[in-house]
Amino acid sequence: MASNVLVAALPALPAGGVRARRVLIGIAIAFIALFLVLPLSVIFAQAFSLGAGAYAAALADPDVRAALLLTLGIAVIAVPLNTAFGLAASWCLARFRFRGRGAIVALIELPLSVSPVVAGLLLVSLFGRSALLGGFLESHGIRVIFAVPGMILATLFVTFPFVARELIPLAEAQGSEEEQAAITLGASGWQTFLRMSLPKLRWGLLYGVLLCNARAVGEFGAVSVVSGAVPGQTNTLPLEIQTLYDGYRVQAAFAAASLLAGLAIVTLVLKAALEWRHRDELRATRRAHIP
Amino acid sequence: MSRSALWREPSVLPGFAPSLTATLLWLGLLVVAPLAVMVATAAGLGWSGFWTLVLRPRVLGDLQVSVFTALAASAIDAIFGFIIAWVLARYRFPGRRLVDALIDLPFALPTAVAGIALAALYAPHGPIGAVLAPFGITIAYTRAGIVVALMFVGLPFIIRTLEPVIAELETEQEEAAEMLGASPATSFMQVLLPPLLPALLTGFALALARGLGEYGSVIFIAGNKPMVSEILPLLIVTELEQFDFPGAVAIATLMLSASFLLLIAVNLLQAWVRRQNGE
Amino acid sequence: MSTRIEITGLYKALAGQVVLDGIDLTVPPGELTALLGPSGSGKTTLLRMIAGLDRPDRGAVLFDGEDALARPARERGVGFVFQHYALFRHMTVARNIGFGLAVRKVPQARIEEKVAALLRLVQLEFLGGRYPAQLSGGQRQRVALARALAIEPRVLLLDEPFGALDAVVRRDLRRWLRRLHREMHITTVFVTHDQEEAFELADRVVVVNGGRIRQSGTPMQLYREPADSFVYRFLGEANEVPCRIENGFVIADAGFPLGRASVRTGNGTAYLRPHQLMVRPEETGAWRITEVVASGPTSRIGLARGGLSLEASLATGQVLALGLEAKMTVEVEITGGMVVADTAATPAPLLPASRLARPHLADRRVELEG
Repeated sequence: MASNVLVAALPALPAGGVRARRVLIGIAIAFIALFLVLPLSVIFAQAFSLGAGAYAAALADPDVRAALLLTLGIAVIAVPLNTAFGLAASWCLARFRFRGRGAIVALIELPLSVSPVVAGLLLVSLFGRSALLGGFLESHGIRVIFAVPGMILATLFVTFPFVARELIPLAEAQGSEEEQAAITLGASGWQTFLRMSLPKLRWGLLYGVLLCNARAVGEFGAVSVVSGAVPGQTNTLPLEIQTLYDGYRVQAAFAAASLLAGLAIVTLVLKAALEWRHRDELRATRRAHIP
Repeated sequence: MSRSALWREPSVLPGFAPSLTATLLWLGLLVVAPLAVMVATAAGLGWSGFWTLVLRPRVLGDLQVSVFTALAASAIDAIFGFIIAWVLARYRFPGRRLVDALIDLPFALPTAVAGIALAALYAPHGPIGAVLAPFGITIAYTRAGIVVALMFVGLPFIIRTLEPVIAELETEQEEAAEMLGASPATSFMQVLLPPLLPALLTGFALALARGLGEYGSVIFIAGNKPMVSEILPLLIVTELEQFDFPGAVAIATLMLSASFLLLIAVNLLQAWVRRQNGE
Repeated sequence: MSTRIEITGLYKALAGQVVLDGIDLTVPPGELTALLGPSGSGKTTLLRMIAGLDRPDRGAVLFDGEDALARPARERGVGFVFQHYALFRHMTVARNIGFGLAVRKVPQARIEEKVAALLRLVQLEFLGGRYPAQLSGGQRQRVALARALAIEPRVLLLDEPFGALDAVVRRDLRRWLRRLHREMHITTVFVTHDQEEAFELADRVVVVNGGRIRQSGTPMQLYREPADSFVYRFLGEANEVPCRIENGFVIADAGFPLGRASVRTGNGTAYLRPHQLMVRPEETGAWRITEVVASGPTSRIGLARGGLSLEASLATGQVLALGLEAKMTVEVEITGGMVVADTAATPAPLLPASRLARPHLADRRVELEG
């Protein structure tokens, strides 16, 4: 480590601070290497432990392909729905002041603090065969729990807050003056939304969609509770990884996991790029909450 | 018109009613309805019925495992998270942006993936497990394994709560303490730590809440031995698989209450932070 | 208790940029000194080095002949008032003021006694229990000062002490600080970019720019004999007139005489303060008024002659009495100024040629002096 570069820190430093600085930076980097980088790299190491051929074979497995397709399919349904919801919520919650607003904001954040397993159970208690609604649907031939609709609902529940919680503080910080100006100039509500609000919120929206998608693709606990866990039918990629791992097909499990890990890396890179390039615009959301 | 003016401030912007309707509908369908039905189911168990299910030895044992491991992991995260947040907020060094981006890995990496990765690392023949084995330290398939997994998922909560607060803390405060004759230790304890404490506690509470509910990253590395290395969420899944629906609901209600309490604690802490900043 | 500060050859470079370029400065015991300069001039760095918050690459800082650089900041016995005060937000006013004593393990009773005395001194007797967020800007400033004074510093340093305050509070606090210093007589250095503040408060003003001391002296010395054009311009508004000097006569490039100077020949610039221009109506005058802007007790008069524009400032009462208004033809008398010539090392005062219309008189006087 080149000492001078390492120490080119913000304030000019008294001599005693230099060593403390190096020690702290050292501890931070070591901890991150051990607890974050090592787990990430072991995924790829294990995935290729039997060579590239085995890796390709594992990914070519029809069950893995079906799981990948199901995972993407669920995300394609859940992410746009929750994005639309996030836009609607940010419009009514950030642009208007009304009674009960705080309660709605708190409810939107709720799924974040609910255990994924409990989230799954919530859906079972509403749509399960013994539940009122679930029994009614079942008698009409619609199966929700242990089937794909339940898995979509579970994904919707856990990814519910992601777009909304990015957009609300951002829209609040930006204020409504431009929208009001547009209205006084004769723009319609839709025109105002499409030409003023949407462009103003675009980076926050992208940020929220990114996080929403990452969670939708990776959700495990909630989906596992409501899934029938039938390989090739109701296994998403995370569930397929469990099936493979529990079946002692460790390398295949890691090969499937490497796809999700790759997606996580892409997400992190895009997220960092967004944060870096649009720092000022996104500051409001970064300040308002923890990712 | 006059009635609505009572509960909402007037605005020239249109679209309030449709956007609020959409929001409430979605919220009601996805969150409120399932929540209400489960609470009703729990209430249907009756007071004594509920407690009989909650006070089963296996539930209490697993609860103890969950609480102990989540507390331990959050505490370790609090210490190292503090250091990392400090380093990120205060120092510029090569690779800082990479480190900053990596912090969010536990948010981005699916929990099941993290789970098998950690299990592979800490298994007796894994890269870390093999190093520790000669010293008689076993991590995988014990409570320590659960702690490691929960540390992984909880770390970003501490760092991301603390980092902006540290960044906003003026270096002038430390310099002022130094000019008044305080030693670095005194300066840290009396001048730096107090304004950071609410944020640190907030991060701790968030990591704890996440840790108590975490499932995917834990089950692969935990031994899943009842009352020893089995976490409460896994017990819910087990009971559901055995079609013991009332038992699962009772435990879920217990966990929901715990997360509500933690949520309230976090909100109180945030209010404290705002008050302290004179906002 | 008063300490003499001696600074010699202080040099500091940061990232290839020279911040301080050989500062020599002595602050006599008990004196109130202002470091005056534009932002980025190095004045704050100089102050932080006296405090021990920054370290110089070279040079020495002595307190009463003793090497101050050898001691860390916390043992230097320096009271420092930060620009934004740096009050500890989570501590009451009283605990803030007593902090320096508490870390020195002074007994609690003694701390309370001292804090009470300091609160009286800064006229905040009843606010000891408040938190900084509950105070006004001026009150915070005084708490910061009380906190710095609590440790009975040998030297008091203030970084832009009034920078964050509004105009009225600033004026009151300035006078109050001046009185306080007269009573306590502690060696004090403060940093400011406001020449009015420096002149009103300081016994001695040190003008800093580009990491160097451009001039130091009493406010009167600086104003009357500025060392160079930077100091001259920094200390007040000035008209800049390109000119040449022939036989001691300063002639504007626009083609008319401005006055005399001790320099014989050369090219250069004449600097004229707006209040050094006397304006009177005269139909045969060579100047024209372009605009009259009244702003309170003084008015600004725009003047033009042969492509040259100048600005004069007159008492508004006088403007009214003379009936000055735009488009009027007037005569202008230059009563003083400064000439920087390429042939002279130092600036020369611009002397009035008494009757510019009759240069032969001035000519004769030059001959008499010669």
